[in-house]
Amino acid sequence: MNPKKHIKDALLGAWRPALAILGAVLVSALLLRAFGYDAGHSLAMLYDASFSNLRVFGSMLNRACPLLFTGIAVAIAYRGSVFNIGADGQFLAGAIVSAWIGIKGGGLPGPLLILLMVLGGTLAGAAWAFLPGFLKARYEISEVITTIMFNYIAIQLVGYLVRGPLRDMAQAEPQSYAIAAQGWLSYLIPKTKLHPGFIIGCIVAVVIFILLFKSWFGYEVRAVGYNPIASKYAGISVTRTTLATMLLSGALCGLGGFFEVAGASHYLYESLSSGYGYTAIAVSILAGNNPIGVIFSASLFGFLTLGATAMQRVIGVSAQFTSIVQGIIIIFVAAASVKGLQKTRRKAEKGGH
Amino acid sequence: MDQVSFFLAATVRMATPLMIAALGLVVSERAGLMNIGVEGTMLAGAFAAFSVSAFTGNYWLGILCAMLAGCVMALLFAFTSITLRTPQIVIGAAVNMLGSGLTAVLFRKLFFDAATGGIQVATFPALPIPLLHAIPILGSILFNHNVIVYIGMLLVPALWFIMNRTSTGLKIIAVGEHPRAADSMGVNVFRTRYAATLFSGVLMGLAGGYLSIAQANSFNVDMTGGKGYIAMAIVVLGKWTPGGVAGGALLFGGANALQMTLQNLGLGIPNNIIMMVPYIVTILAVLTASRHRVIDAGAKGIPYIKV
Repeated sequence: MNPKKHIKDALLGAWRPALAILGAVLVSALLLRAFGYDAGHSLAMLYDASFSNLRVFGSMLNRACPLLFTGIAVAIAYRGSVFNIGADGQFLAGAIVSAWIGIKGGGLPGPLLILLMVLGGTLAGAAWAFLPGFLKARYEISEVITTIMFNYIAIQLVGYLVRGPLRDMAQAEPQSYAIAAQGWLSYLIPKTKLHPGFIIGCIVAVVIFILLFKSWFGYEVRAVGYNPIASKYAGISVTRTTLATMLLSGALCGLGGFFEVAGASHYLYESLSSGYGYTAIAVSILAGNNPIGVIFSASLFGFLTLGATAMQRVIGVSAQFTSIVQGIIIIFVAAASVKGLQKTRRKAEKGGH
Repeated sequence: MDQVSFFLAATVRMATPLMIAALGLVVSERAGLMNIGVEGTMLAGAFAAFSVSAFTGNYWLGILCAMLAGCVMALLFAFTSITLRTPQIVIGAAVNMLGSGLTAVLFRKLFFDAATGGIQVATFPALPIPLLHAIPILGSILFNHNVIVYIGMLLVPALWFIMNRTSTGLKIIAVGEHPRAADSMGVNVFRTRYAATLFSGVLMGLAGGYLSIAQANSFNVDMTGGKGYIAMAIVVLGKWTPGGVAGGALLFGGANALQMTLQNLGLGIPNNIIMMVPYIVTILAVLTASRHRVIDAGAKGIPYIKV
C-alpha cells in the first residue's frame, strides 16, 4: 500500500464517524424540538459549557478523563473479542481501594501515598475483572452477564462504605472522609481544576496502541479476537490471552478510578461513576476500538456530559439526554461501519482493489 | 406459616416480570438473536404504562401501550441488527442507553414540571380467582395476584407448546440453528427473525409495564435496576426452555423476596449488603448452569446474508 493510499484511507475512515456524529446531532436536535425544548439555544449552551473560558475547558478534560481510561479498556477488550460491560464496576473498585488507601494512609509522605493509591487502584480494577474473565476464558460463560452483576455489586459496595465504615459524619449527604491532602494530585494550569489524569490517559492510549498493534501480546489478543479456533491451532493459549485481556482492561478502569478520586473528587460518594463504564462502550465504538481514537471520542463525550449538565440547569431538560445522544451515535456509527464492510467485500468479490 | 406463605407469594410476584421478559428472550435467542437491550426495552414499557395510566386512568390502555413501546424498541433492534447487520451486542447496548435516556427525559418533562407530587396512577388490582384462592396456603401463594401474574403463568405452557409442537416453533429454532438450511427449505429467515424479535419486545414491554403499574404505582428513572440483565441470566439458567425459565425466574424472585424480608426483619445487616443478594445469586446461578452443555442457538448473534 503506497503512502498516498494510506492517507486517503485514513481520511475516508474518519469521514464515516464524522458523518455519523453529524447525523446523530441532527436527530438529537429534532428530538429536543419534539420534546418542546429550544434546540438552537441548547446547542449554543452545549458549546459555551466547555469552551467559554479556560476553567470550563479544564473541567471538560476532567470529565473526559474517566471516559478515556474506561474507553481504552473497553477498546482493548473488544479487540480480544471480550465485551467488557463491567468497566463501571472495575472503575469503582479502583476508586474504592484508592480512596481507602488515601484515607487510611494519612501518615505517609505524598509521593509514596500516591504510588500506593495508583497500585492499589489498578490492582483492584484488575481483581474486579478477574472472575468474569476467568469464567469467560475457562468455561465460556458470557462476560456480558457476569460483568454487569459485578457492576451492581460494586455500586452497592460503594453505598455500604460511604454510609458505613468510611462515612464522614460532618457531611449531610453520605460520602467518605476526604483522602489525605498530600495524596491530592496537583492542578496543571492555574485557575483551572485540570488534574494530570487526561494527559496521562493520552500517554496510556499511545502505549496501549503500540502494545496492541506492534507487540507479540497485542498480536495474540487480536488473533484470539478475530478467530479463537484458528489462534488455538496456531499455538496461542486462548484461555490465557482472554484472561490477560480482561485483567488489563480491568486494570485500566481501576487506574481511571484512581484519577477520579485523587484528582477530581478527593472522596468517595455514591454517584461517583454516573455510568462511565456504559458510556465507555459508546466511546470505544465511536473510535473504531482504536485506543488513540478514544482520546478524541472521550473528549467529545466529556463535552457532551458537561453540556448536558448545563442544559439541565438552564433549560430544564434532563441531563440524561446525553444517554439518548450516545445511543443514537452508537447506532449511526455502528451501522455506518457495517456498510463500509459490505462495500469492501463486494469489491473483493469482483476482484478489484 | 403466615410468614412463609407471604414470602412465597412475594416470590411469585417478584418472579413474574423476570419470567415474562425471559420468555420473550427465549423466543428471540432461539431465533438466533442476542438482544442485550432488555433493560432499555423494559424501561420503555414501564414508562409507557405509567404515563398512559396516569393520563387516562386506564391501566389496560397503559399495559397495551407498554407492549407497543416494547415492540417499537424491538423494531429498532430488528432493523439495525437483521436488516443493516450491525453487531447485535452493540445495538443492544445502544437500546439500553436510548431506553434509559428517553424515559428519564420524558419523565422529567411530563411529570416534574407538572409539580404534581405523588401522582396517582391506576394500577392492576389483585384479582383472586374464584374458589381456587380459597385453597389453604396454596390459594394465597398462587391465586391471589393481579391479572398479569396469571398471564405470565399461562405463557409458560403456551410458549412450550408453540416452541415444541408447532411449525412456527420449528421455524424459529431452524433460523437460529442453521439459517442457510432453513432458507433452502423455504423458511423466510428475515421474516421469522423479525417476528421473533418483535414478539420478544412485546413481552419485555409487558414485563416493564408490570413493574410500574402492577407491582408498584410509580415510575423511577432506571427503575428496572438490572432486571433485564437478570432475565438474560435466567434464560441461560433455564437452558432456553419456557419451563426452565419459569424455574429460574422463581429462584430469582425468591432471592428478591428474601432481600425484602431481610430488610424488613431488621437484623442489623446494612441494606447495601442485602441488596447485593440477587446479583450474587445471578453469578452463582450462571456458574452452575455452565456445567451442563447448553442448547443455545448455533447461529446466535450472526447476521444472515441471503445469497
